[in-house]
Amino acid sequence: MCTMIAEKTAVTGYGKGTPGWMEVNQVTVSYDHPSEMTLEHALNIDFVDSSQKPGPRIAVELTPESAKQLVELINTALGKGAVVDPAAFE
Amino acid sequence: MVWRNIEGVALELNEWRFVVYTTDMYEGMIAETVTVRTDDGAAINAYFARPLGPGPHPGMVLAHHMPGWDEWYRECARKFAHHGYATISPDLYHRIGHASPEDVAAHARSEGGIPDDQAVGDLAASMRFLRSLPNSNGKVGAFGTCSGGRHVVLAASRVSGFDAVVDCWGGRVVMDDSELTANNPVAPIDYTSGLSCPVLGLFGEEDGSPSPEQVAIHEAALKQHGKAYEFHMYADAGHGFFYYDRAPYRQEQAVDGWQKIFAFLPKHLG
Repeated sequence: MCTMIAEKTAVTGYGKGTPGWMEVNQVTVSYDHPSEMTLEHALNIDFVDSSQKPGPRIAVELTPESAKQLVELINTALGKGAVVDPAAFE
Repeated sequence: MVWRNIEGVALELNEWRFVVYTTDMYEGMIAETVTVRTDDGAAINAYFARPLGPGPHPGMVLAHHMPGWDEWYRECARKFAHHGYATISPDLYHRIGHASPEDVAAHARSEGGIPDDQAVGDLAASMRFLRSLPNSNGKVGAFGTCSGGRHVVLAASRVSGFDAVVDCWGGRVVMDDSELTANNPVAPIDYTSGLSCPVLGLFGEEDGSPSPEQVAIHEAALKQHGKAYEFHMYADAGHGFFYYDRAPYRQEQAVDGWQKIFAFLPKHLG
């Protein structure tokens, strides 16, 4: 199925691809057909510079289980970060 | 025009498309990128594959899937050309810009797909392009998989001029109100009364979109409006079972599906 499940938000950061670092200011998280992974559906994350349409992107395709683990890791790291650097989380 | 095989044996008009290929036959095609002028003034890229020879040839418009205007669709265009159809596959993501097909598709995904009105317009322009060819037989069909299946059903329901449609697992033909968006403001099933040609539908029992229940709803609408259709639901198959390079590929079902396509089209495209 083409689920058309896709959520998008603005972000601030950088991503590193083959040519080097690039500014990223938008991320789309979708659960739909992956390009490379041999699954019908995957959790796909695309960081892009929205000023370049379509342009380079930092893309990740994950199994649902891997994506859940990533969410947990991110939350764990953020929790620990909030302890050592509380000002950054205000 | 009299078609002859390599030994000079005459074939009836268009008979060459239906005879079993033998190794003494001449065969040729040309395939290239062209542009199609659309109603909104754009000139969109399209992959155009057609048999060599004066024809007359029936035409096929291919609506690519959500993963984009990719290599599989070029191969698919050449497959239809091999079977005698002047075939055009427009880049429905043309207006997004150009990069690798998967990067363009990723951008389309982030935008919630493309507007239905735009897709219908581009497919209609492609249909008119084929019918305008001097070696057209005047008949044009449409084929699409995944979102392309949805798009061809939508196009054939909203504009006249298509003579047959092949919908391969087109999802979201049946849509809840919660799924309607600015790009997809009306569920294709709601245009069923306007469908102007027979439909061949190929689906997999394990697909979630369209689910067997949604296919049944679509079938009921076709029956209700007295439309000609032929639906096949394959066991042990899900979404995308033609894609030989993807995990959902199912060899037996794919072979049978292609046979059904090339049995269905000659009945309606001459």
